[in-house]
Amino acid sequence: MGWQKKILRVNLTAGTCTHEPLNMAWAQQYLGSRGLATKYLMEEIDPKVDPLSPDNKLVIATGPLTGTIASTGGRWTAVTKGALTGAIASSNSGGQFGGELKMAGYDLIIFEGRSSQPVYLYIQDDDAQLLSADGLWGRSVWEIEPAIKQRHNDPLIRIASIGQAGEYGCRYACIVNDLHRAAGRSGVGTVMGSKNLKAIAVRGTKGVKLHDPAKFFAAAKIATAALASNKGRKGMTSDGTIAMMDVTGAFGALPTRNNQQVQFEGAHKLNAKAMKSPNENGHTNLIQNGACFSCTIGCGRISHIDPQHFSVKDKPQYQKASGGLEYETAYALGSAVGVDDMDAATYAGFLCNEYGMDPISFGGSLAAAMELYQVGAITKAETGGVDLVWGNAEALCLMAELTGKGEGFGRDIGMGSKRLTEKYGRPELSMAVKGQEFAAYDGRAMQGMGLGYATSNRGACHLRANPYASDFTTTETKDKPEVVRTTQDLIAAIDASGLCLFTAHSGGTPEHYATQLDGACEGGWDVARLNETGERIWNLERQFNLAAGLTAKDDTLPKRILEEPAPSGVAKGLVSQLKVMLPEYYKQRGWSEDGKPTAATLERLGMS
Amino acid sequence: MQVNVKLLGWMREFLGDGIAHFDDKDFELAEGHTLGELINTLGFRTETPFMTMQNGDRVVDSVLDTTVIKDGDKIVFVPPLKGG
Repeated sequence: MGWQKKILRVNLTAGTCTHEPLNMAWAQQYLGSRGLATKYLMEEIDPKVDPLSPDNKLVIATGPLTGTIASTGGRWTAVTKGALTGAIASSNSGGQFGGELKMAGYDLIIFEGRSSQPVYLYIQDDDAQLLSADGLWGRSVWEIEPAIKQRHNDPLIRIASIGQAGEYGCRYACIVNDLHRAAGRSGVGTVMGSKNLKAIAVRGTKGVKLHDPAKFFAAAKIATAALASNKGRKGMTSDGTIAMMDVTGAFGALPTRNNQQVQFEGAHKLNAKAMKSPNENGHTNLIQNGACFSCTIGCGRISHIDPQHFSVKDKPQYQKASGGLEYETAYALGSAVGVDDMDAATYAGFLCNEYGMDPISFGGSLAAAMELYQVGAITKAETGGVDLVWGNAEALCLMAELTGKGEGFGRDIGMGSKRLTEKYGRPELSMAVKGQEFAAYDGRAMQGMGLGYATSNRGACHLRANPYASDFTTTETKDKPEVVRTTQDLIAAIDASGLCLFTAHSGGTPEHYATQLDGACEGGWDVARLNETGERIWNLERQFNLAAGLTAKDDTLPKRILEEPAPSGVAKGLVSQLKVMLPEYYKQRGWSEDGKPTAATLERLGMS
Repeated sequence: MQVNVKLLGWMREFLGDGIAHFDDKDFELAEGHTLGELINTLGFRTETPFMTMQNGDRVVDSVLDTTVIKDGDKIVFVPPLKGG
């Protein structure tokens, strides 16, 4: 068990909701969430499909440990063909929604087709129905969550929805749940919007059955205790992920002004200390930390913007506490665009949550626009009169609003940096892989991260490999392929389990994951099987991409990272050694020289 | 001689018993003091891996005991931070 062994299939064209048994042979092979959803997608769609056509499907999935007391057991995943990338999209989120969906009795929801009118899905345990989104469509995430709860007179409903960004087709629209958690990357919200699906509202009361409860509870107790005593976990709780700002800033791995620099002179105004310190008005940005369902880490930041700050002084609706800056948003809405104003970045982050768009891709796309402006490829004639110079905090806030709503030049920024820079004739200024913008690490100072970006199945991403310890130790590339490959596999398995990969940064070990799974699920789970399952998932995602038309040529980095030496920091003078690392990575994966899994590899993984 | 010591991320969690928490502090050290001796004083020698930077350059663990600190040096310690 662990699995609910039930799928909800929602045909939006026909307006039907039907229950199906979970394919347990696939569950034993692909575990759940990211893995199992990808298997269903691979079996049910042509990977060459237009991501925004009714023939694409959107799978919302929980893992076998979602909804349990395993620490961080609240994760869920949205899997589809990505609107931003044309590759497999697999976006993971926390909050409370995943646990609620699992409690309602479902491992997966598969959305297919397209509704003729905007609708939302309302689930009360076994009862699932599509309802009209009249009065909801055209409104923000922050507006519709309370409206749906009021409509059903139930404050305990958990909701995942899209904002205006997903409705108009912003290529990196996300699905936001619980107001400020999100399945953020690759445009999963854009696909949801293309289906005229505004929200999923769920109330679940069933609980989760376990294969061997005593064994599971013993394993969960050990795993949770390991997190409790771990110093990394304590740091995550007290400082959040934004603690990384000082580290990459000192190291020279902090992408700044569209990766033109790798250290930001304003980093000290966007770090954990600044977040906790009163400003000149005596106002402190950080209110408290926050935790998702069943989480004992609590890395989330809950922030409040100074009411006297220009961004909110005439907008009382934003003078409230909500999800604050994390490291990625502090980079994307800070150093990436040269802005050192914490409240402005926090406000832009609020708008990303409210309108439902990925702050990393928004910040990366705005940074590309600012470099286009810097080199004269665009002027105020294109930007609507906005002075898109580096560090313009007012422009950041305005562009977040325009992009969220799809108005003015914001519509161009909503295309993503790849399409934006191609439109204005400077494609080399897009800092992206497979069309998805970089996360907050530079691939020259962090050679392993560069390899991780290039080989990530969903495009540039910091959550697909774990080369941090290696990268903070050396820029030598010899060991990077192995570090990247093995951690890609482990993270795929963690994602598939329903746990949060931040456990791996906080004292969690493969033994902890395997023993908890072994207690929750039948089939016998150990570390070797966990790693093999992760490798299988990675290869399945690769097969999806190859079938979609991607090739080894897409496993690359922008010219800037490959040819322009890092201007400062510990990697001063270095470029990415991707060309050295990639062939060894393919070889270790059991792939051909052109990046395709060999027949022997597929047979070994039981995928032939 | 005076040197500046910075603890990044949650390196302060690694300080030894009896060492008051700090993020950024000037220290008076005797001439000839090595990075290894400073780390022993701060009490996190066994908390590996962490990274040491001296005036912006990374210092690998194998030479910590032979790397002499100079007056005015800026020493930064970085914990094994991941993710974000």
